[in-house]
Amino acid sequence: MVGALRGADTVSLRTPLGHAEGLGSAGHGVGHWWAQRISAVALVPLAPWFLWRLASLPTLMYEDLLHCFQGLGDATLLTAFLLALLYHSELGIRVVLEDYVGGGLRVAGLIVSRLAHLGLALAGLLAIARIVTQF
Amino acid sequence: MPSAANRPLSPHLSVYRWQYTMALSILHRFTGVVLSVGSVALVGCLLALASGPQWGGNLEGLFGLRIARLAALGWTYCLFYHFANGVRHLVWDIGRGFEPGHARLSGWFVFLASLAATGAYWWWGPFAGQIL
Repeated sequence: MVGALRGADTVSLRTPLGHAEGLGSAGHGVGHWWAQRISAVALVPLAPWFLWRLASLPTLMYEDLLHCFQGLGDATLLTAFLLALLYHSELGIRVVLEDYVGGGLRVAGLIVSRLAHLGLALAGLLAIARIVTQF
Repeated sequence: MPSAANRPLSPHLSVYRWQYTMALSILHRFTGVVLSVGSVALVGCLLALASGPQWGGNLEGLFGLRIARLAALGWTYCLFYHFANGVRHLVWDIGRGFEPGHARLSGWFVFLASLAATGAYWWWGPFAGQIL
């Protein structure tokens, strides 16, 4: 075993450099894991808020929907929901691609997913900005 | 990475005996992907709403379509399931509920609660009484 670390009763398969860096086989440590959890925790109150806000509308007509998210508090929460959702979605799609898709298709998928999520976030933010300023 | 080729492989999924908790796990991923696709529709609705009365008014026509309401129903089920099972995962992350009995019980709870929540939301929610 190249560079195996030998303790009292265990044999590590990790190289000393890999052990010191602590980044694991995927090369980015626990960063993705933490980001997924933090965005999940953010969505625990935000997702029910979104469903509740829609359910509390008198109708789903244009005017009601528009006014629903025009208040500063509602617009802020909608923005937070949208960004947390898209961030969490990007992290999840990345895992699915890494687990089930191989080779060049995986690389292409990862790039398309990242760009699509960024594009959706941009479009969503601009849409909310216009919703807030519409009368 | 000199030793990459010599590393032991993780056992493939097929070596495990099938258990219904595995179906719940697969459903978590599946509902997550559906929600990702649904977020495109969500941003589309926001853009329509932002584009003035003509486009915003088209939303009313969209919600008038049964197929659109069914898609929204499916999206809310995926949201409720992914939400409930996601909380189950967060509980596991703090080191609780791992015992096989607890994990099976919480699995059943998540499965049934998400169905009940979807039914309740559509019974009393925005499309009350006009799902189909």
